[in-house]
Amino acid sequence: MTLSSRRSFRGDPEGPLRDSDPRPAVRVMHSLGAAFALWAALGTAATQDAETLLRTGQRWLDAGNARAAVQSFRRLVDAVPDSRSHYYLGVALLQDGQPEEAVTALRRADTLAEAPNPALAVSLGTALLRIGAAAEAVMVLEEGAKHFPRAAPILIQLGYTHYTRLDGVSARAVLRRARAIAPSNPQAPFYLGLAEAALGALEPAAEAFGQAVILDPRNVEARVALGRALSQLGRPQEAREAYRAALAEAPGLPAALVGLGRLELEEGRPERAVGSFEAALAADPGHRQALYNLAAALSLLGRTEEAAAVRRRFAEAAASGDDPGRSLSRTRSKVRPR
Amino acid sequence: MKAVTAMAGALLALVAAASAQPEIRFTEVAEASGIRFINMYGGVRSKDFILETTGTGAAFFDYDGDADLDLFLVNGSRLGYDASQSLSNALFRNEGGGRFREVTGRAGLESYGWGQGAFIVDHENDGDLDLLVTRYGKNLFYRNRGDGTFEEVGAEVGLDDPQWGTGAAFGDLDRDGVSDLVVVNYVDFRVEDTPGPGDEPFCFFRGLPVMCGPNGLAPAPALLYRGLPDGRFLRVGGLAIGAERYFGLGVVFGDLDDDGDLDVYVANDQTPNNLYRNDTGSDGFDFSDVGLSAGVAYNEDGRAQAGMGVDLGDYDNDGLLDIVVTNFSQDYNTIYRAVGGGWFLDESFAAGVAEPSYPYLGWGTGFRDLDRDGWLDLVVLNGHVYPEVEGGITESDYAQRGLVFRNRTDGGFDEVPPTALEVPRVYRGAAFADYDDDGDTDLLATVMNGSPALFRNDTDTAAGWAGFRLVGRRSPRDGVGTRLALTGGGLTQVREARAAGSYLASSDSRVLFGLGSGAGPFGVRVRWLSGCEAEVEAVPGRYLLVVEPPDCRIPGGKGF
Repeated sequence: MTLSSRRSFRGDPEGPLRDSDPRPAVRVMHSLGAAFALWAALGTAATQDAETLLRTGQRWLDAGNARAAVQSFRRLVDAVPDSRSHYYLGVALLQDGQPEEAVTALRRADTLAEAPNPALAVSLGTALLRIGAAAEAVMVLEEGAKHFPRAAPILIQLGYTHYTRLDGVSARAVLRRARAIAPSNPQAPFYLGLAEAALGALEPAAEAFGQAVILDPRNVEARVALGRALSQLGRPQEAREAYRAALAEAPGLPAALVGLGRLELEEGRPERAVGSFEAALAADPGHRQALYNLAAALSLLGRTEEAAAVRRRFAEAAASGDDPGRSLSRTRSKVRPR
Repeated sequence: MKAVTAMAGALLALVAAASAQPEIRFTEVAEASGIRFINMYGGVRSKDFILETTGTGAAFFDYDGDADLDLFLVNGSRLGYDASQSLSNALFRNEGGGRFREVTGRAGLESYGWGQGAFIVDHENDGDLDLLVTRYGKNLFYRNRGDGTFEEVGAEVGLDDPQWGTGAAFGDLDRDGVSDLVVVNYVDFRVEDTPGPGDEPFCFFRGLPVMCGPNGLAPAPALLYRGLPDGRFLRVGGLAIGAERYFGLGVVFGDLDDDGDLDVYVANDQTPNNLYRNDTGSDGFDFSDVGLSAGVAYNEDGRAQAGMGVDLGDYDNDGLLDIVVTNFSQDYNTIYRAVGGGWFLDESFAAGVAEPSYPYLGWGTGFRDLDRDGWLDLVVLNGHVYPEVEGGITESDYAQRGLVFRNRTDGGFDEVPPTALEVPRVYRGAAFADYDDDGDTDLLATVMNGSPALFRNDTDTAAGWAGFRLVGRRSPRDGVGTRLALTGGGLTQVREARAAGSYLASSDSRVLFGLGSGAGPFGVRVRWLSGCEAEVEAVPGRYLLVVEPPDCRIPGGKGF
């Protein structure tokens, strides 16, 4: 076992962003998977055993079996307790839904690293955000951005972290930088749109979501967010088109159906709104916004008993769900990034 | 040449359009008017506890019966300060000519502590207006002796509740001719039981350690009091009002279902708002919280916001009262438009008030016809709760400007330059009144740890106005709750006489109509809380005294 404990990963931070999954965590997982592969490829001094453990873990990650990957990487850490091993373990733990342990492993990787590492910064920032240590996540990512100022993944994760902390101004600034650095990256305008919407800047939000949709037509969350912004801007026909495009991509998508229903409600067609809300609830029976608006539409139609029944369902959903109430991004509530 | 002509035509059209709408203009005149008052309220550069954030309100009322509006300002305190270190509430007498003179001591209104709001009622129907001051600590009730002085009788009349009273409203909820009362409480709060900044996860804002709450702290119940003919108030329990606890801040009464009695709307911070439908009959109080079913408890996403201030008004002139609620920054102020049948829709974005409100944390608010065109405009005062945000570290500063929206007359509003309200201050309460009796609505804004701002409405308009001063007989003498519908100039405007509302404030309870450019006549139907209906004709350019007829018509059905 002579795997070097002094090597740091220096992968291509742009690479993972070609993935189109809009969720930061998923994006990071893909990013880290690619980093992992590259790191593994660089491990020329590794023993066969260590290589086997690495590749086994990687295969498990690729197969979506994070639990098994964790086991492989734990053995790797026992065998070769260096920065890289801890990093891989942290990635697997994060993917396995163990963010606290992931933070521990990634912090250890950070301590052992000889040089700053963009992938490590992204993954540690992500893990810290997952455990609610958003302020520390910002510090880690800002430090990473200082060393790698053109690393769009770091900037995007940093912007997203600012956004989750309801710091729209910082999110906007960082994500604009990310968009300028990586203009073909669909993530930057998507998160920029969320930040703009959280600030109430609906025109820039719509523009950013529109760009995100052009760069990644499969991003239905961006399409829904675009519809939302357009609806709030008083452009119902364009909003309707955005929602329909989302539904064409993802039939039955509750958020898009709710958006369409709201348009019907606002335009005085509660009977048609009912259909949209009911369709949304068919896909997601606990969808709060659908329940809330369905009750309103039924009331307007004079179907008071049905409305009351729906309201009871809403009250149950409201009682069981988190509702911080304050300072929420309206768009975020629809898209709900993980 | 053709293009030039077209451009010139377009320019002329623009000029004509602009000239058709006078600029809504305010001038800040507090100091010049003799209002010299310093508010003390918690820490200036940081706040350790939520108690230090709510600020104080104000009340316009004619305390001395000389037919002009005097001004009462509430003061607060600082943690660890006693009375000798604090500053008193203050009463300013309107001397006429736009001048005020402080008369606090002479009136017997000197008081110290954590004052919150000021609320007015003619409780004994004796023609003298009495005063409730809500507080963190025992609320104070000042009986007006009728000679320009007051005596504090909170314990005697049953209003010395020791919780953290914030908003309150008087009105005759059971239509027995005596005003009743709702007091909302905010947080069940004790300094010694409350974690400090950064001590708990709910004690951070954008990573900054800040005061904790209200989430994570215990909410407090609203209190309902029945006004008794002998001058006492009887606290009534076991009803919807007070059955559940919320973080209550704003409360307003109005006939939201147009059935002839006053309903109760409460704006709650971080918890759903309440609409208590009044179904009181001869068997006593009967309220149901229909906020959820009416569509006014949550925003359009089905999410509770952070309600602070609240007002009612028929901004679209469809005869139904709509609701505005101010909320936290990075959220939007909400307009619930009445659509009939007791239902409302969140139309904040469609109305154009949502998007401009995002950077601001709203408090005092009011629907008022600022340019007298017959359509209610909207004012919102703002100011953050965390001094720690000052310095550009967030999109919101601590001191914030006010927002003024002009009614477009098509169901929406345009934000217009707020003139004097553009100066950033840490605003809280907003009391509206035509204090100079010139037929337009002025605005007193309280400022946390600063001096209040008196915004005189100097909108230059040729539009006419007509005002009404109401005196009830079978209904409460102060006329609160009386509904008026003025028809003329192609419009029917519905207004209610109301004092409490906005945020921690009482406003001019006279009813003021803008007449636009209509020539009249302007007929007015008056519906008193007793059910009595009468018709009068507006007199442009003056306030008309309208007394409830002793033997007027009482229609059999409800509705106006």
